Amino acid sequence: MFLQQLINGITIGSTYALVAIGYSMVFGVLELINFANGAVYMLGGYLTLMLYTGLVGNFGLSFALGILLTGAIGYCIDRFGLRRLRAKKVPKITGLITTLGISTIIENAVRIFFGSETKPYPNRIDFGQITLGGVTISSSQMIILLVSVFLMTITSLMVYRTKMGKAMLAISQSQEASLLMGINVNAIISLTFIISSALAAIAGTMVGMYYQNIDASMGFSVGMKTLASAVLGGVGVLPGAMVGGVLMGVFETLGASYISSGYRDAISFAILIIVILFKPSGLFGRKQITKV
Amino acid sequence: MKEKKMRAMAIVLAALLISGCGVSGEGTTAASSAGTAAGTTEAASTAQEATGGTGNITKHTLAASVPLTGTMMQYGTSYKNAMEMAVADFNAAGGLNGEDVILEVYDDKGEQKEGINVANMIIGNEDTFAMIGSYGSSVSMAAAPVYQEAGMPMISPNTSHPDYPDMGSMMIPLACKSEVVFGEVAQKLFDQFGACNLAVIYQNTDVGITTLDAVKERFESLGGTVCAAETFVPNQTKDFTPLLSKIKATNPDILFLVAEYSDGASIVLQSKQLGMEDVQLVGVGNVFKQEFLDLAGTKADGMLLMGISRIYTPEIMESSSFGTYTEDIVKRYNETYGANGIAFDNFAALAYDAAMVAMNAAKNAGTDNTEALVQEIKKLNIPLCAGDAHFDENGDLIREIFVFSVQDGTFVFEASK
Repeated sequence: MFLQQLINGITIGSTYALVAIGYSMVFGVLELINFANGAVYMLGGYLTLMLYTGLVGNFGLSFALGILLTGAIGYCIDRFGLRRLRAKKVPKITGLITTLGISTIIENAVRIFFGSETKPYPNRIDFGQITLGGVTISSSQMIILLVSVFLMTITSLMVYRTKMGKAMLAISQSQEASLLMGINVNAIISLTFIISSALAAIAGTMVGMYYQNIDASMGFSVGMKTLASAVLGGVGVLPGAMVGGVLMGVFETLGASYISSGYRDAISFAILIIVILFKPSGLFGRKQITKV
Repeated sequence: MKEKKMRAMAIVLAALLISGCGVSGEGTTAASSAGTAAGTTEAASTAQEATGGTGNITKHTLAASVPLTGTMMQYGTSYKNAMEMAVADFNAAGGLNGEDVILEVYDDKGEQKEGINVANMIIGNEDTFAMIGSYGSSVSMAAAPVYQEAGMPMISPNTSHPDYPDMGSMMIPLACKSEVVFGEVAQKLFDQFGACNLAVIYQNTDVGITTLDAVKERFESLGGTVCAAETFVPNQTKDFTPLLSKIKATNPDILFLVAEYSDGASIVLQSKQLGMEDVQLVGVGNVFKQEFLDLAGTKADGMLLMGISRIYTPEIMESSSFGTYTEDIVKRYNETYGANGIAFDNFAALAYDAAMVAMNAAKNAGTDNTEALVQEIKKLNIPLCAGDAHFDENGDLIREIFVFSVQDGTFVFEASK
């Protein structure tokens, strides 16, 4: 049973990791906690569903369009909600409140447009399950895991191996200096938002398929957990966010199965607090936080 | 502030007016009852012989307190429609020895405060022999002391709170206490599947915990094993795989779900993903909803649903045998109110029964002796639309348990006990 629970935990944890990467990237570049990320995750799931049932009819295409649309919304959040604030050099807390407001707007808009009831979600990655030595792994779990690992690798390579990633790292150290070096700061920040929103959309859609339903409130608790994952791993460090996300999933699954199912979220957050007490910068964070 | 005061005064005035009416009406009621007592002793005694009743019929009003506005108005509307139909049916069949029963429906908005205001209005009318209401335990229980003190029989179609029946001799619930229902459900499971391993997954609410306790107590006392009991936070828990994996490791034969429809659907789907194909799924009444099937689809096929409420969709009505009495009521109700989009439901069935039981008891036992009237109501010796029910020796209402199953993504009526 332990192995089974571990697989359950890693599956859900890897979707947390995808969303946590988005938090970490935005925080790295802007030192801003993007509270709208959870809502974007939910919105991504809904957009794919809407495109699939209403317009396109082909799930793969709907999924791709859903990711693009959510990315576009991520761009809009930055372009219309945050860029002016940066230009005016307002305190960081103002931007945080803006993202909180945006998350409320997205959630309520989804409620009005789609209704607040739980909606069924088609599972296009369900090809049955295999049982190995008493452990059952469904195709959904395997695909979620593979997709997450793939995306995490791509994102890491992009941030740590490309010029664009270097630009992100530069901006995280000093926006002014980056600007002087000829980096288009606004474009890179927008790109960061697009990538984090697209990752959230992929996670939201995969979770929708995994549970075969979706509702407007799903973003809130995932937002909390993924923020916690990012903190657990060390905010601003991509591998930290990934490990933090997976650990968060495993903690809550094992907590629910071995301690008490009624306290599952409390257990995972208690572990988080203990880790932070002993290692304030997170598991992978250094004293001087290295940003993306 | 001022407006509020004005409104409060208006309510007080209205209450005074109504109780005033009651007082002025008293003269006529007293006179007529004196007339009845003096002039028709023979008639009364023959009526006594015919029905075994003891009292005289001096009152003709049946009152009701239901939510007709606010968030719970759809339930109140079902109640009102069904009671109107019941009163019309009763009057058409002769009424109270030839006199029509008058139905007075008050709007309590589904709020406790309004429920008490309405209660005071209802007890102010001297012509009222019984009342029906309210929707939901909280409003019923807020108003119950008023009715108890005034000696007004209070028939409550779906107040299932375990403390309600003990609030006084005037309280007549037509809904079972949940522990009684789930004891019966456990019995039924044992009868059907024998002494097997039962796993329970329940929502962390009052209802969930009471249900678990009731099921566990009965099932284990019969010799079965409750091999796992796992809880979750309703509408928040999305990932049931940890709980289900843990349950799966205990090798259950039956997985018993105490969940609302959306959580229930998630549990069903995730249990299939974990390869729990051989486990018999059993659900409670909360999931008797089309929305459940929309979410779970054919993955719920083979699942059993047990509860005291029936569903009355056209498909179910066709496949089931609820009896001609019920079928006739459902048909006429849907013809009258169905056009407005209000289909017959379990609330309507219970309200119809409540009104019929009250009026028949008044006919048989008279309305001048409240205690006798309550005793007569509690006999429940008329056909019941919502299914057979009786009070046991402990004073608990016992209802038959209905079993539905899911087949090819639709609900199918299985059997009743």
